[in-house]
Amino acid sequence: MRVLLNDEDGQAIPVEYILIFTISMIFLGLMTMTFNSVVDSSSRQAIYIELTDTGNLISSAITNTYLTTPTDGVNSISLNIPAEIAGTGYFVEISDDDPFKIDNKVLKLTSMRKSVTAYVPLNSVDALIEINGSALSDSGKILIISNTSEITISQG
Amino acid sequence: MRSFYLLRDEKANISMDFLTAVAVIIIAFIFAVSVLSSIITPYSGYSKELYPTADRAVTLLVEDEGYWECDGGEGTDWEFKWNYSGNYNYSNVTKIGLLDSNEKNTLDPGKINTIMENQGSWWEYPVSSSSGPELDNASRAMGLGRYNFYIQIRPLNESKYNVSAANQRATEMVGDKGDVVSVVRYSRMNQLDLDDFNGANFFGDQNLLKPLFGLDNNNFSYILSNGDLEFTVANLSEISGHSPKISDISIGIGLNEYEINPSYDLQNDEFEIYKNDNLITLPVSVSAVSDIIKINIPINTINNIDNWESADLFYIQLSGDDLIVSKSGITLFSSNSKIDEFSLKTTIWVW
Repeated sequence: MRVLLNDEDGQAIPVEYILIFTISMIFLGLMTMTFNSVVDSSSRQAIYIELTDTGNLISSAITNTYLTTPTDGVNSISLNIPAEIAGTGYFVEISDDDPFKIDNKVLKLTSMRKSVTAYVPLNSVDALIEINGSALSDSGKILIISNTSEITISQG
Repeated sequence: MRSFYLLRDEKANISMDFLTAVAVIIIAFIFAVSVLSSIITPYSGYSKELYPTADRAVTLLVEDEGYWECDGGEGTDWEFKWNYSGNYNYSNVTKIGLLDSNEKNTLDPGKINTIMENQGSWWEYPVSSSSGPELDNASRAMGLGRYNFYIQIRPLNESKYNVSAANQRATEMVGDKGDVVSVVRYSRMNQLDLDDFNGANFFGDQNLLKPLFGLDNNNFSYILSNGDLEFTVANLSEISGHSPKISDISIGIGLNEYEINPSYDLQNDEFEIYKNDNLITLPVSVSAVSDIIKINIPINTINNIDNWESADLFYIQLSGDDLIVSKSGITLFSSNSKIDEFSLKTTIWVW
């Protein structure tokens, strides 16, 4: 032990390379993991924001459909929506899940990948008229059909 | 000195400078990525959804009549269910809407006054007296469940109200919040103003000399918005030629010919009657042509008539001595009343 502590001539080149290589690899791994984590978080946030935007677009269309439904006829709106958000399709449905805890239905949008879910309020339109239906984003269109008693959403 | 020796010793050194440089670059890289990420996606979903949510909420508020539903029935006259006659039926109101059932783009003053506080020709909600359960249910029924909100309705004509007071209240209620959106909608309102009744044109039961007044269902919002039914009768002495006297006043929602049946006779402590602006009690003698009789029946007295809000007409009948009516029939308030039409601005703040 005494020899080891006082030996100042034993510079081992291979050991130094191994040491530096190992530490560099650890740094590289950390960097990759952090980068992936940040990119994944940003991607989720971007998907959530886009889903919220799209949900609000659909929710506003539902409100307008309700307000413009004729008393003796059918109102039909074909709404253009993004087919993919951040490279992934998504599912739109009228849901009884109530994250806002107000005993009303909400519009639920779920991305196929990363399982990001956004809830958009229907502003209690469901208290005035029955709302049902679901749709996939594949076609880039969503169909909203309403009459005096019901509003249905489906794939356009 | 040992330390002096260490500073000068250059044996067995490894590339600490290299490792330090790599560490600094990596830390800088991670910092740059995280900062760039937050710059590229700076918006939270919450702030982005505020505007469309507020837009939908105020659209439904001014373009829909609202709705109530319970085991006993359903309808759009939710103003009679919200806080009717001291009964708090908030949960039966599924949707709050202010649209007048009979007019397009016109708000119902009865509905406005039911939910909002009248501050003198402008209205606001919520106010400090709004209870927790009321506010929760209002929030739900306006579709603003998870949000804070404040609503004002003002006349477009700024001479009709105190603009600075309304602005001050908006500043106090909304304050200096971070993410706040406001959305405005324009509508109209027809406010009923009960004009003087000219005694020469009274209708009623001729035989019993009972002038009969009727307020039709479309104008019931007058009672809700004012909290009473107040009207003025003039020119009474000319129709009798004698010394007419009002001895009784009754109210009701049913008629037998031109007499209220069943009738509810008002007691002196249940209403107010003024002769030439002086508060008096029954019987009231009408001795001069210039005598003006003002009758004020508060909503609490009207509530003694069960389900009056569902009736086609609400009746008030005067019983008198030496009173005479022109012919059989009903003097309808709507035929004598003035409708004050004005434009309104509804603003909702959501945060």
